[in-house]
Amino acid sequence: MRRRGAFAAAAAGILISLIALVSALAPLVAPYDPDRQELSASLAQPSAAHILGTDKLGRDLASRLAYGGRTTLLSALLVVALSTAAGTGLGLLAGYKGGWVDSLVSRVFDVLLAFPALLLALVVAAAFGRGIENAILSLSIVYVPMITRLVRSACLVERKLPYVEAGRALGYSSARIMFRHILPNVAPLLLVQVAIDFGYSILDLAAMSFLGLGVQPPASDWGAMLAEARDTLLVAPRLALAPGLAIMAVVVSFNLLGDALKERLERRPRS
Amino acid sequence: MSLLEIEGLEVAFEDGQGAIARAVRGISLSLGEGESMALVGESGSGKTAAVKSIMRLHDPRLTRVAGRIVLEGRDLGLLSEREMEVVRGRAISMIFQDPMTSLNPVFRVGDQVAEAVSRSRLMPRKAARAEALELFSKAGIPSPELLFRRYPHEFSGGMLQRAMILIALAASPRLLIADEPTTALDVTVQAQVLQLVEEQRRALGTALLLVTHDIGVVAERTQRAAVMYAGRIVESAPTIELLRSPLHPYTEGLLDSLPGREAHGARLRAIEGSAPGVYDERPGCAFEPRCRYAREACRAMEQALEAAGSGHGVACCRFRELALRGIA
Repeated sequence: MRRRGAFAAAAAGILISLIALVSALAPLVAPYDPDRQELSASLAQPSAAHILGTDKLGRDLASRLAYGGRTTLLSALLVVALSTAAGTGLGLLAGYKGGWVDSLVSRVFDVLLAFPALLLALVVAAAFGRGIENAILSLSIVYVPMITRLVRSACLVERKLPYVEAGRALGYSSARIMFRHILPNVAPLLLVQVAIDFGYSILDLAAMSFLGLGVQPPASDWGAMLAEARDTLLVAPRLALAPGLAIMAVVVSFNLLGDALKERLERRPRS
Repeated sequence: MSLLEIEGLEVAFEDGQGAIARAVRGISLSLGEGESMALVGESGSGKTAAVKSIMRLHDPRLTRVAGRIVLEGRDLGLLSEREMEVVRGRAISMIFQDPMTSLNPVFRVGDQVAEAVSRSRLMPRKAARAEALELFSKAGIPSPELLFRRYPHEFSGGMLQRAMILIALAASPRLLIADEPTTALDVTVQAQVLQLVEEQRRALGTALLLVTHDIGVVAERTQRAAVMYAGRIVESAPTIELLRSPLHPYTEGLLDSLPGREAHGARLRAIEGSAPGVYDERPGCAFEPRCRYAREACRAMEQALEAAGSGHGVACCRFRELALRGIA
């Protein structure tokens, strides 16, 4: 059981690294400009020239997949980074300070959590206007409550441990105790959540792009590619399959990675 | 002028349902520069609640503290939280009961000592590490370079408490509060740890307030001792005098329960009954129900601490008539 989990995690890790590498190096590895149209080669089947074929406008699918991955992964990274930073800060504050700070943060986020994440993101994006920056921002906001809740509850446990009181007795400031002493103890839990959130944010970003609220043409990400592929679904299903499989592979990998991390870290003896 | 002056300290905890637990019910004491004093009492007598309030470590939302705590002429109750942060760790330090949980589990012990050194002496990190390593060797920690890089869970309790002592004394505080520093340790290392506290604090001229329930620990280590019962100080005297000629029946009871007094093989004498709880509001002497010498008068009113010779105070209305046994 243990070994199988480790194997899956390793495979997931390798797959993510590979996809990230290809995406990061897209300008070097992509054979074509992703936006270069070649209408004479519209919907070309996979061949030596176009290993995954071309789309309706004759754009090279492999190149678009690589560049799209860039946008998708980078956006997801931003979502996770922004929401984790904000959520960790708020969670530590609410958990450590308690009192009205905690009540305020917790009640507001209880309300936010009552909405389905994507619906809320759509509302926020609709308010800010379409575009990838706004999609990232709105998803970041939507992801903050979960992180806050997690960090807060872990912080509540840590706060009662003697090392926190010992730190206070040494005259360490609240900020120092929260960020330098409690945060590292909460980090393992946070790491698991970050891995899982990364997968979800890719999915949600894709959904937003699919609905036209994310990345705007001619730029593209996997979600937008899926949306474009709808018109030619019966003629050239590979146009939908490629970004779809890419999304699936990354999301599943991140989930596996998160599970494996969780397994590993929860086993950690805590004295 | 004395270093620490406590007057009429009261600490009460609210449980949120309106009940109030009065843990400390008006204690006064004073401690001179470099002096060592023991605060003795059984669990629940309010020792820890009292010393924690000196550092203002209680959650102000759940705790009511009354009375004055004056350190070097400054009333600590009037300081802002920010000002208090400067007092903590610099002017007053504290060592806690359980060293295994008093250090942060995710950092190397050496780094935690270095952090305290760097913060209290305003040293750059690197110099602080060297200094901390130096402290490690001086504290008699074997293979200091090796242990310096270990995590708390890789330490023994005794070694960890030594590190804790180094952290607490890093800033050469004026006052060190040790809250049952040896309770969680093996008997064999207790003496060594106390020895280290004594050596280090003497070198720095730091005063010591030692909280303990072990009157045996008190005997060798402190100049003065105060015995607490049910949130009050019932007797306070120079340690030797307290041990030799106790004036309060509770003190006598504590000494009676020590091994070594009765003939070999005889049963130790325990104090019958148990201490009143923190919710108990019965009038009269709190020790009266358990006291062998109790009279009707003891139930009537609470006895304040009364002078009974130089530096000796006792809260018992019968102390003049009783001839209590101490240890030789």
